[in-house]
Amino acid sequence: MIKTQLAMSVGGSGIWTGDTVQIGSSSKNLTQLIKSIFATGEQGFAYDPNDLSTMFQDAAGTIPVTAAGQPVGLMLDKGKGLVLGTEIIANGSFSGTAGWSGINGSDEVVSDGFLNFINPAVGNPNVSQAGIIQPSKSYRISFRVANYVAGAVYLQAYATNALNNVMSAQISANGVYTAYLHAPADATGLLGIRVAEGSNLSITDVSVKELLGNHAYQSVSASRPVLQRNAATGAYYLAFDGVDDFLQTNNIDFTATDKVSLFASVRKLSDATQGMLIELSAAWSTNAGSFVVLAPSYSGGAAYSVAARLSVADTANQQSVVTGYSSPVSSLITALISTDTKVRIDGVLKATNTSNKGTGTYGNHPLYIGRRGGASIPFTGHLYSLIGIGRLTTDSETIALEKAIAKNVGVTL
Amino acid sequence: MKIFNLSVVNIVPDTHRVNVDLIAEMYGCGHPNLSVKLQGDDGIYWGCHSKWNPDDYATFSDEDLRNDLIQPDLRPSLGFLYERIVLDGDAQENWQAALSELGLIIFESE
Repeated sequence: MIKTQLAMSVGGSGIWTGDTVQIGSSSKNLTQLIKSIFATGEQGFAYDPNDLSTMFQDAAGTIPVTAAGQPVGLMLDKGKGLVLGTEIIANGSFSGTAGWSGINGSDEVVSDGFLNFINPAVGNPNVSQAGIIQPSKSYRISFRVANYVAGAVYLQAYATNALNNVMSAQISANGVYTAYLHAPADATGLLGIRVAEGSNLSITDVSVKELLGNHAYQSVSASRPVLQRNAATGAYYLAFDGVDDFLQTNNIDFTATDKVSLFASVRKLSDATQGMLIELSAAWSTNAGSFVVLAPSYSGGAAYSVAARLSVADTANQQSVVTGYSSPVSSLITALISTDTKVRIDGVLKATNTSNKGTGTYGNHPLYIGRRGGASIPFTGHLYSLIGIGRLTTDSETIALEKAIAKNVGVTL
Repeated sequence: MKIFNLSVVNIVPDTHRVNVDLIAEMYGCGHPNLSVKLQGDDGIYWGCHSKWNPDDYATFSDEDLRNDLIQPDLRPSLGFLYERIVLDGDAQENWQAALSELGLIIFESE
C-alpha cells in the first residue's frame, strides 16, 4: 500500500497494514531499516522473529515455522538481504558425468539427465564434487528426485574433523527438495551425496548457492527456543527456557572493525542466575576480539551488562553494568561500542564506560544467542529483535532502530 | 499443524548419557541433547529440557518402536532415563521441580 503525506483515508483504516509505505515519509519498517543500515555491506547480523519467512523448525531449513508454539532451529540473517549467490555446482543436471567424482557406472548410472541410484552400497560419500563448500558459509541446496522407489539422500559438507556436517533431505517421493547447509569452520570444500542402504531413485537439477548472511541455527532438538506470540502487542518472539536453549552462527568475521552497535529487544524473566543474551565467541573474558551482553549481568542482580575487548587486550576489563531492572522486565538494550561503550536502555543513555579495551579489532568467532558457548549461563526470557553491525550507527539510525523494535516488546520510548 | 506444548525434562546418570544421546540421535533429535551437567550426592547427572509435540513424544516412548529401532545394548539405559512431563508446562517450573525431586544442582567447576 502506498500513500502520500497529503492523502486522506475515509473509513479505510482497516486497509492500513504495518508494511504500508508512505511516500515522502521518514518512517521505515524494520526490514527497510535493516536494508538501509547494511547498505554499504558492513559485517553484522539482523534477526527478526516477526518475519516468519526467515525461520524454520530444523537447522536444515526443511520445515518452515508457521505459527507460535513451534521450535526454531534456523533463523536467517536479514542483514545481507537474503541474497543467493551464483550457482556453484557444475553439471547439476547430469549431462554426462563431468564434474562429479565417484559415479561407478554400475549401480550409480547417469542417463537422460539423471543420476540413477540402483541399490548401491552406502558410500562415504557415493558421489561428490570438490571445491564447493567454503568454511563457515551457509548454502541453499536443492535437487529434484524422480523415479522414486525407496531410500533417502544425504548431502554432506566434509570437514577436517571426522564429525562432518551432514544435511539430509526427507525423501519419500518424487519432487524438488530444498535445504540449508551450514558449513563448519574446517570444511574441506568437498560436497558429498550419500544415499541410504536400499535406495532406488534418481536425482537431477542439483543446485548449490551461497545464502549470504550470518544465519543462526540449532541442530539439537532440546536446545531450540520456541516461537511464541505476545498477546498484547501481537509481536512474535523467541522463548528461551533458561535451561539449554540457544542458537549459534558460523564464524562471523569482524576483523575489519573495532566498532560494534548492538540492538536487542528482550523480556528478561529471571535474575536468579547470570544469563548470557548474546556473545561473540565462547566467552568474552578468554577470547580476544569479542563482546557480550548479559541479562542479568550476575546471579541475583537486577541488571544488564555489556562488555567488550579487542584483539590485542591484556585484560578483559571494560564492562558496563546498568542496574535497576528487576525481572520480569521488558527492555530495549542498545550498546554502542567503540573506544568507549555507551549503553542505552529503553532509548535513554544509562552508562558510559571508558576503560581500556585494548587495541586491534574484533575477531572471527561464532555468535552465541542465549547460552555461553552453547554450554553455560543460559538466558531465561524472550527475544524479540536482535541486530548487530560492525560500525557505530549514526544518531538518527540509532533512534530509528530503537523506535522500530521497541513497540514489539511493549517498551514506550 | 504441530504445536510443541509438552514440557519435558529428561535426566540420566553420567554413565548412561552417551547411550541415551545416541538413542535421541536415532530419533532425529541431533546430538548432544543431554547438555546440562548436574551434581547429585551420588555423582554426576546430565539433563535437558525440551518442548515436544505430544504425539511425537508418544512415538518416542512407544515400547514396540523402541524394540525395533534401538539396538539391544543401548536399551537398558532407557531404564535410567528420568522424565518429568507437563502438558502446557512452564519450562523453568518443570526444570526446577525436577532438580528438587532428584536432589540435583547445576554442576559448578572449581
